[in-house]
Amino acid sequence: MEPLPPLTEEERERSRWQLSVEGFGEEGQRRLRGASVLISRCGGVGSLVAYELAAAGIGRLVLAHGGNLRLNDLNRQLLMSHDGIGRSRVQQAAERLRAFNPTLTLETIDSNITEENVADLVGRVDLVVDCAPLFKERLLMNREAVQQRKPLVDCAMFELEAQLTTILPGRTPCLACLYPLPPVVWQREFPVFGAVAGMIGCMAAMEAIKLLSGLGNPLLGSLLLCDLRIMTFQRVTVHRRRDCPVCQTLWQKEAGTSS
Amino acid sequence: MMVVVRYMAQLRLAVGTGSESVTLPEGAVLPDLLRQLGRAHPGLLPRLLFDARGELQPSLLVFVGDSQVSPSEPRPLREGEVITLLTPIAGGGHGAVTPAH
Repeated sequence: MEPLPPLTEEERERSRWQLSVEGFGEEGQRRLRGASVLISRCGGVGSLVAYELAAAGIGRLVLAHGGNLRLNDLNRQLLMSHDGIGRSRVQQAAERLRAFNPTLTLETIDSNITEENVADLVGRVDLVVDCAPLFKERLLMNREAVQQRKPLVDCAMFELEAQLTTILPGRTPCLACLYPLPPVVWQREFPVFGAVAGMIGCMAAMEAIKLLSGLGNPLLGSLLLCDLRIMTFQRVTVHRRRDCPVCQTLWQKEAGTSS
Repeated sequence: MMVVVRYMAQLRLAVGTGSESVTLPEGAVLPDLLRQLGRAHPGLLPRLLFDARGELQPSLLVFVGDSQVSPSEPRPLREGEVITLLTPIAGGGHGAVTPAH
């Protein structure tokens, strides 16, 4: 295990308002400084994940998002700008994040998650936050995170609703335990407000901060259901599928190890 | 016996409401409730709950109170229980309408 990096005076001052958080302190800040996170898609949800992690003083972010900005992205993709329509989303996100926190190390991939790049990208980081809109991408990311035993924060939104769960391979159900198949009907262009995307993005960032710094209790084995139409937040327990094709071998290994 | 059903995401749009009270015969189990809902809301809801063979969709999540239960479990329901039904949702995105698979 690598030693935690020291904080510079500038980093200590930048993070001053959170250093006094109970259970966090300078050690928590150093853990964040030494940590790396992959964010799959930095659109409506991922923009806010990246923004909050940059604000919190994460050491390194890897951003993967393909394509150029469209006008109809701007109700929710807060790292972009109107002048950037037609330009690379991931490059605009990086520019904004660098201007916001120049101490942040950034790696940008102008592509979404694919079979070809997923192993390399997951292998580069300590933790993954998945904000992708397509189930194929999400299930692929889940498979790789389980394979590499990397923590995965999975967040989703629809209309005025949002969901969040944190997956620790071998300790919690994985995404394929919850959703072995995509839904029967899914419209890639679905209704949503930017404020809903931003809210769940901020919560996902907090889950990442907690996992990386050892603070609080992450959403392990739980799914948070948020319904902003009626302002209800419900934390429900979720169970692994014993026949899960993605993670059942991991559980069998764990059982074998402990016996 | 009366239970409350909460519909999340696409299920809410299919039914047109976020929740409703449902009257069931005493001793009814979860699959009875789901079949009754499919009959009460023809259109998209039955497709979201059942496949072409009439089997429950594998990605349907069901919670009784705050705990996940298997949709096919013949668990007797009790007066006043809140049953939450959920189909998968995803993250941020853009683009044309596409089928899930």
